[in-house]
Amino acid sequence: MSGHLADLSIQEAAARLRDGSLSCLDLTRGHLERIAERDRAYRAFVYVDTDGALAEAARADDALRRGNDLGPLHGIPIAVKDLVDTAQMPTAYGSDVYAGHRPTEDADVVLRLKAAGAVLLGKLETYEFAMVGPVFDRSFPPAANPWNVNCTTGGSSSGSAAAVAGGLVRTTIGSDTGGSVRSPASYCGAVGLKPSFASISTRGVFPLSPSLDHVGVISASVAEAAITHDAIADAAYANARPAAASRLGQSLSGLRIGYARDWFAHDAETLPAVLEAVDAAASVLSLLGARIEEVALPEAADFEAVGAVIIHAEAFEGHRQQLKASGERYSRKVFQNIVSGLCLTPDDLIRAREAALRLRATLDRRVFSQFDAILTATTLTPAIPFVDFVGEAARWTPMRTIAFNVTGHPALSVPCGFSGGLPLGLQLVGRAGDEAALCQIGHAYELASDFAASKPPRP
Amino acid sequence: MADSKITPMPEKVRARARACGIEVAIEREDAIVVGAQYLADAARRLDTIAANNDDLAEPKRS
Repeated sequence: MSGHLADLSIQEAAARLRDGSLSCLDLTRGHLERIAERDRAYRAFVYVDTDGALAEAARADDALRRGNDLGPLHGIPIAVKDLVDTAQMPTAYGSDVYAGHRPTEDADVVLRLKAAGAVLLGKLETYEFAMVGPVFDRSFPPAANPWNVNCTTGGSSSGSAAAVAGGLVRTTIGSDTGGSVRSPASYCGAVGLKPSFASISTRGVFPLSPSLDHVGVISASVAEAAITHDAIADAAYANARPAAASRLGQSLSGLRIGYARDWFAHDAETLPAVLEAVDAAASVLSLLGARIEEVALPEAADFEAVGAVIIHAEAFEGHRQQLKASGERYSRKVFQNIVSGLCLTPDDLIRAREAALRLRATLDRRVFSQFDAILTATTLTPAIPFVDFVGEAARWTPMRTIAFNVTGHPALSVPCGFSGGLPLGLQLVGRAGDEAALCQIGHAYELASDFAASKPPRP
Repeated sequence: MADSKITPMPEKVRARARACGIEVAIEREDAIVVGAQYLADAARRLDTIAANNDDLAEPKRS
């Protein structure tokens, strides 16, 4: 067991909270202490609610003493991306446009966390409106990658990944419209779970592209991601499917995994180390009993074209009035990126949504009829230095994530190696509603490799 | 509405922005035009997706 309270896994902390050897208050104080000690280097938090967190922790202790146990997240500190409305904390959506904004209501996901007894520590840095980053012309800086603070975290759930990788908190809430949970998880050596479309309510999460927006989780391990997911999934969804954590620890024997190797191996931007790491992971999964076969997917560029049209058409419509009223307060790259969507027509959006349905049906018919999961890369390189983002144009980082926002299938990023001291991530994709299989496979892989347990140097 | 099948030119971007009431500084136009061109290309690609999907290879054992 680790020495510092902030390093206890959710399961370790939960056991100690229930056997009386630890209080929620002390656990929360441990996390606040760790944030104060390290976050000057990471800039993961944009707001820390010390008083609110301590009050919630005291209430959680009191409830446990009275026998009112709210489940696995009871008394567990957690932090939330600043794209998510919180009535008790400022919520700026990563933008100077909303500086000082305080929503009147909590987002549904925050209400779910509170009902589960979690202790909210604060709000985590996000790319502006979850659109593009990092940018350097806001009134606050982007989060830094704990493995190398001169590198980006990826985004848009940048603070969520930095906070987990930096040991500030074990589990966080993010959002994912084109890879915004999975790419920062990959770059920072954390676990990122984007669940099936509409499995977690997005009410109260600032919309980027409602057809593709997902609430997701970034955590220190697959088990902690699964536990967090199960606490925040909509009741109707959760009641109809096995819990994400329900198959943790089960054998992979008999599972069939399609390895979408060609889907990223021949991309000119793929770093050889990424291919080697995912190849090695395929071998590990085979040794664990899964049957691995290569599988062909529709071209990545097809998914990317569909995703780009949907995101930009919906984002432009969503921001149109605000761009008119306060466009000068957007950061330059975010403004330019959103405004470029003005060239799209309503017909383009209709055709893109139809194509998305076709791609989803193709995966269901041709891939998930034969395989329990797909294995591929998350990002095609490790994290990129901040200096590479200083130019005028937005730079897109090469990844293989938006496909599963387009199709709505659940996807999980798990650490699978290092290159130049920076983490790499593999991606597992499952049938719609089958987060349990993804977490079963990811957890088994994680136990058989040591990558998720590796820690960055102390700042 | 702009026609995404025609290459967006700075004039078109400017006119569409003006029609939406959005002020675009001259120094930002080039980046917006580059983004608009990328999106126009993406919209054109939508037409080919149905054909591409019919050509998916069968899985092969590794």
